[in-house]
Amino acid sequence: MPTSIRRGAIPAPWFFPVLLVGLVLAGGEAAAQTADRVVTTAGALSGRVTATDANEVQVEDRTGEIKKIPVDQIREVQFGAEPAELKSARSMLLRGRAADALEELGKIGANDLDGAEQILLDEVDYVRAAATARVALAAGADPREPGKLVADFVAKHPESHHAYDMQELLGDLLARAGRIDNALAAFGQLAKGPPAFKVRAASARAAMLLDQGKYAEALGEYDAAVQIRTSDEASAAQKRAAELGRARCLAQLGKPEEAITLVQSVIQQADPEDGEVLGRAYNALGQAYRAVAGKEQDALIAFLTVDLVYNKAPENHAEALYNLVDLWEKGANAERSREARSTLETSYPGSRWTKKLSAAKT
Amino acid sequence: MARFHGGLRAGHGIGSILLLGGVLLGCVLAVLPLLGVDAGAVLLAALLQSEEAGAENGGNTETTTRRLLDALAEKRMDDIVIAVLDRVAADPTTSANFRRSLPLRRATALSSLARRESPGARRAAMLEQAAQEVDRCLAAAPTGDEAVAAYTQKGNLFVEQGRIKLAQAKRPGEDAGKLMAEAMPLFDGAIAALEAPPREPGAELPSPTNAEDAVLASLREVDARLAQLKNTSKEKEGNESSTAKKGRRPAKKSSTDVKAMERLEDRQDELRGELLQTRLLVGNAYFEKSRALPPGSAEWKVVVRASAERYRKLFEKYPKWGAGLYARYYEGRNYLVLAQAETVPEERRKLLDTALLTLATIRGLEGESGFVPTLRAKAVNASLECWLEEKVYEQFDDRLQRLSLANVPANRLDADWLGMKVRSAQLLAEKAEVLPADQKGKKPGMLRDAKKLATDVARHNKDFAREARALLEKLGRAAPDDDDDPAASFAAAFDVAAGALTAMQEKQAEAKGATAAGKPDEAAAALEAAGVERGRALQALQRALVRGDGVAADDLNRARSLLTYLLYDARRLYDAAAVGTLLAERYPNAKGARQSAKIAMASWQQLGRDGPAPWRAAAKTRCADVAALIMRTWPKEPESAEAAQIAVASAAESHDADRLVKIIGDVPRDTAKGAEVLLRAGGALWREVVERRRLPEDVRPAAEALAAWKGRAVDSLDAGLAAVPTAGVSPVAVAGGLARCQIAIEEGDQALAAKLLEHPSWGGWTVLSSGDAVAASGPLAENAATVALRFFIQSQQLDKAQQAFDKLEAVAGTGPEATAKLTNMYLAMGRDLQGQLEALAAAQGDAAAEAPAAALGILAGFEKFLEGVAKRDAKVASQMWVATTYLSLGSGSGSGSVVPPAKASAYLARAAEVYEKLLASSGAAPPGSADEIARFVPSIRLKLASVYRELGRWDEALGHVDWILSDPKRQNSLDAQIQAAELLQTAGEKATDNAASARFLREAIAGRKSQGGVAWGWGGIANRLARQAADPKAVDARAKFFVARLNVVRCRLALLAKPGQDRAKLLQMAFNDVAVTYRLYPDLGGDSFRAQFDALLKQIQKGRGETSPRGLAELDETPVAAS
Repeated sequence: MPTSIRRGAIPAPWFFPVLLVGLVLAGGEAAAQTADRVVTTAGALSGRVTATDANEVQVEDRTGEIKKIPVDQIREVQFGAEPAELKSARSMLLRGRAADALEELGKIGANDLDGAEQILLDEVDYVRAAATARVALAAGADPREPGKLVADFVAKHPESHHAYDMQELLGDLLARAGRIDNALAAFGQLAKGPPAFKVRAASARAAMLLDQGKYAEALGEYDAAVQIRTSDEASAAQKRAAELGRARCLAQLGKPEEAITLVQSVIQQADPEDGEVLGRAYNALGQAYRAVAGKEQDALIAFLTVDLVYNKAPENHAEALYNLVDLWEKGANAERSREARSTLETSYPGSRWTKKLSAAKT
Repeated sequence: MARFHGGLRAGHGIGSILLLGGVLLGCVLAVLPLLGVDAGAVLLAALLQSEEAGAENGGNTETTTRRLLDALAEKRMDDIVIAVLDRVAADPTTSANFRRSLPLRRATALSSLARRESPGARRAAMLEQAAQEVDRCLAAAPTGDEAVAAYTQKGNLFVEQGRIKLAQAKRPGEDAGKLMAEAMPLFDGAIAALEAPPREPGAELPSPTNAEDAVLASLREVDARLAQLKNTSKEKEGNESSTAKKGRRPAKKSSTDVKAMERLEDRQDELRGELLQTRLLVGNAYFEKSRALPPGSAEWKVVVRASAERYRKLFEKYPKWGAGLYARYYEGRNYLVLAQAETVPEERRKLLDTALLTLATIRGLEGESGFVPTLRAKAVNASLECWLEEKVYEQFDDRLQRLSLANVPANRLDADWLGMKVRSAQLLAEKAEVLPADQKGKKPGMLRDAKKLATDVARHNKDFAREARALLEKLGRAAPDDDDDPAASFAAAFDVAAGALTAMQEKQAEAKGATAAGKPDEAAAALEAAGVERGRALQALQRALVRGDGVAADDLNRARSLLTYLLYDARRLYDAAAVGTLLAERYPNAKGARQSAKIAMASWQQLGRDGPAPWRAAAKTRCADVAALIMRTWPKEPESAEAAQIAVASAAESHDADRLVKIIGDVPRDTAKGAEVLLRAGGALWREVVERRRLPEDVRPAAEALAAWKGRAVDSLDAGLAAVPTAGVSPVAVAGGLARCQIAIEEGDQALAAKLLEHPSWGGWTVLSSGDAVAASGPLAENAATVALRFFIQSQQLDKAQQAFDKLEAVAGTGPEATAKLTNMYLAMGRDLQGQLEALAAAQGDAAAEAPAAALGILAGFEKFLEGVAKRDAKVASQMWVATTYLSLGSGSGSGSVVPPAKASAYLARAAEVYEKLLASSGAAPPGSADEIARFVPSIRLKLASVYRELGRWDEALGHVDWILSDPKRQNSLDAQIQAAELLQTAGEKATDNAASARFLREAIAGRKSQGGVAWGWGGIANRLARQAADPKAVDARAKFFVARLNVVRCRLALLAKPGQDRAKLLQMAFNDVAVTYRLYPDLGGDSFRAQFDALLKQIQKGRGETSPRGLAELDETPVAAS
């Protein structure tokens, strides 16, 4: 049962009196008293977030009706009273710009959260912990410190609508720290969520194995993820991501042609505006082509597609640039190779791909 | 007032709107300066619009591919665009809609690529291919935007192809008339593709066959739909003559209708813009066509007038639109051109007046925004030409003078602006001279303005700089170096430098001309003046760089690049190398970086060759570094191959096999130069393999490494030989073929060896047998003869072997030097033979099993040939060869497993027998031949010493050596001394009598005196070579010095094994030998010698009881010990 997170229930047309009182008492600050907004895969719902737990968020709409929204359909929960910087930081985090999110979070003034509701303070903790963790993961940095932050959040906020996301993040950090059993336990918690999270849990386990170079085992986990019986769209999206993981494994296991076919099918099914998934897909396609002799130009085109078309997600873009540096070099196009290198180093100085490139250079 | 949205989509720089003083002007700035050159890419935008409309059928992949293609086109990655298009075309799932767009996309990419090619066949072929793609598109009878884009592209391609022909016609030696005639149909084709044929107003439009009709068809369709929506009975028929838009939709339409009408009105605007643009292109195509005709001819006049006529009509229809105003300018420009070619004065003046009248509209434009200043400058510039011609100055009023004097940013100063300024200066100067008496007071101001304008032009050193300088001189003062002011900018100083550079180059050209004309004094004076200008340029650049704070990196790098060139020109090689290297290393993408890198490399190379002796070694290293940088940074450019050649020479000189391998991997293979580099590098690597194989086992590289190097050498040589041009024989190709042949011989691949040796163009034997006197002498001929001889003997082609043998003698020539040369060649061949036998002995696996049989085959061939020569050829040289080869066959230290010891001893004995026989005959020979043998006696005794050494007959061997060294002249023969020292060392190491062996070793170190002979020993040899050891150019002497020093140490260590020695003292002495050598010659002669010193030092350290000997590292840590 979701926990109530606000002080008492507010009658149906709650926002009018609040707004009026706010206007009278606080002048311009009243503008902050706008409605909460839950952005879902199907659209957005405005109202007041009254309760959350790990599986759903409850929103009281303008008519006073309580709507329950499962977490696997939620893209973002925005709070009417939150500082603009927090909103912006969370948005950056969700778009893969974790370092920018941390910077944005730092702009929240000392007084901005005076008297703020607990859920907003929790939200700040969430963005800080998640962004710190994402920065560390992207940079291949020591995962211990961010791991503490995330573990702390998970322990303190089991009822947060971010609980599963944070479990997954915790698992990723533990895996990076080499604490495989603990990572598996974290992913196990993730698997307790709605169907889409079960798929994510299996995929997360697979990704961990893939990271360790255990391609056959990773493939098994990805297969398992794909075979989980589900019928909802959220799970279908997760399965498409798992298929891309499968493709990476197949390419590494000497079956690049199979991988190519698989990625192309994912590309056909994906939302053409879902740059994040398509970016990952074209990177996977590029990797698969790189495993086939004589297909370097196809690989180049795949990575260029990420570089020039689907370049919004930093991780995807950095991976594509890393590969382009090498492919242009091999194609005897030093100028373009340098350009790709320069973009990678200046745009993503902390990325693990930049570090990998520097390591290869030395 | 309605808006007008040009003709094309936003974001392409076309069709932006200017509302100027209440007048509506459609701006076509972005396309006009290029007129037809770049319009294809822009028009493609229209096509993309229609493609996007149909994109929903293609699925995600097509959507992505379209986006990718657009992004690639924007980034000018046209090569990748073509690669993507190839894939799309080959994909059976590509939708019909997308497939239809491919030819035009390909044509656009090819046109863009062609523009980046230098003029030539490749560029022409690309344009031709682009034209074919456009034709493919047109074959599908496109309509709407697609037709407009295709016909426009077609017209532009024709114009571009015509221009290429005209440019070609201007080159010296070309048949200008023929090329101009060939250009004509191209321009006619352009006109046909762009212009609609004449027809009655309102006449039915046929299916479009040109861009103008294609636009009109679309425009009429839109007009009709709009009229229908407006519910008017009046049919509008593509009324493009409307100069202003009608008022927006009637008030009582539904919102859907209103939106539809707005969309249609926007579309109408776009199409009108396209129509205007097409008609401008038509006018331009006529003008381009006129350039293919003799200026002033009747036909030429007709075409220029046709162009003017089209511009006139355009202006009359759109007098307040940007495109109309541009058309007006071009119309005036055409009258001016006609006037300049007119020979009848009255007609000429009329045309000039017409031009001035036409241009007056544009000269009178007010405002400083958008395209107005540029267009006005063009018109004023053209008008000034007329006024100067007619000597009419009054129309150049104060307003125009102010416009000319206005400061214009450097990046906007094109030929029209500069022309306007310089002609204004000329006009003012002329006007000042003819001022009426009552206006004389204005003269100083006019002249000041004239100077200011001329200085401005001269400083920018672009178009009209020469005219501006001439005017300044006429005005009584040279262009001032106004950057002397400390507050002056980087740009000002740079401008002065650029001006001085131009002046310097002019003076250099003048000097060249004077030299060619046999006027040395004038040449010297011009050179001196060039030097002065160079000094000015250098000083100005240094001032510019000092003021570089906040200046764009590109500009700074341009200055650095120029500085590099000037420093090199001034022979300040070290400075040129330093600046050029800095630029290449830190700013490889900068314009001029490649040229600077090349200059840096050339500078280091010259310093390495001719610079101060202490710098040479470092300069060579830097030269190799810059060469590697060039190869890495610009692998596809011609400079890379040149750099690779230098890198190969450097790596070969320093015996750096790994670097050679790297160069082979990096060198571009698809160029003629690349092939040469591969051959040089492959040959050098193979020589390294051969030489390193001969090293003592403790320092010899592992067999795997040698095999890998050999493999890379084979790859490199094969690739190089495959790419050798068929025409002409280069010595590099012959040498490469011989190196590859040696490898084939060694590998027992006789078929390949024969093929290589007798290759019809570069085969060593083919060249040697060609009868060409040049090919029959020199080191390459020597190499060819020895390789051929060896191969023919082994393959038992004894007739050819005899021919090769004769050629070898012929190559050696005659006279005393020939003997030594021939002996050296015998020795070289013998060494190769030994190496081959040793390689067979070292073979592993299946090859090992076959090695003895292969070796016996080789030996049988040699035995047969040698005995034949010994019997039938009594010449001393032939007998020497027989004996020397037997010596080689019998003395290979590592060939034991394939040359049985008994056979080896027999060969040595046979060698001794032949040598002794030769010696014996020296006293008994008939007159005439005795002298020849006498000349050989020292050499024979030297060989005998070797034979006896191999046979372990030390006293006999030393007896011969003592005899040789008893002659004071021969005592100074380094080779003899080395052989004596080697003999003593070997005797010391191998003699069974301990006392004798210790004596031999001490003599090997310190020398020996007996029977009047003086052997220096290794120590004495090293002392005599010590001075040369510091000279990197004295490669051979250096190598001998370090060998001698190593052998001193080896002898001391060998002494340790003899009874009764002071072990500690010997170890200390050996240590000191290494340490002193290291202190005095820290490079120790290169990596190979260094490794040998290191190994010996470790042996010494071990002998001293050190458990973890550190070798030379100990000397680095304890420099005191080293000293």
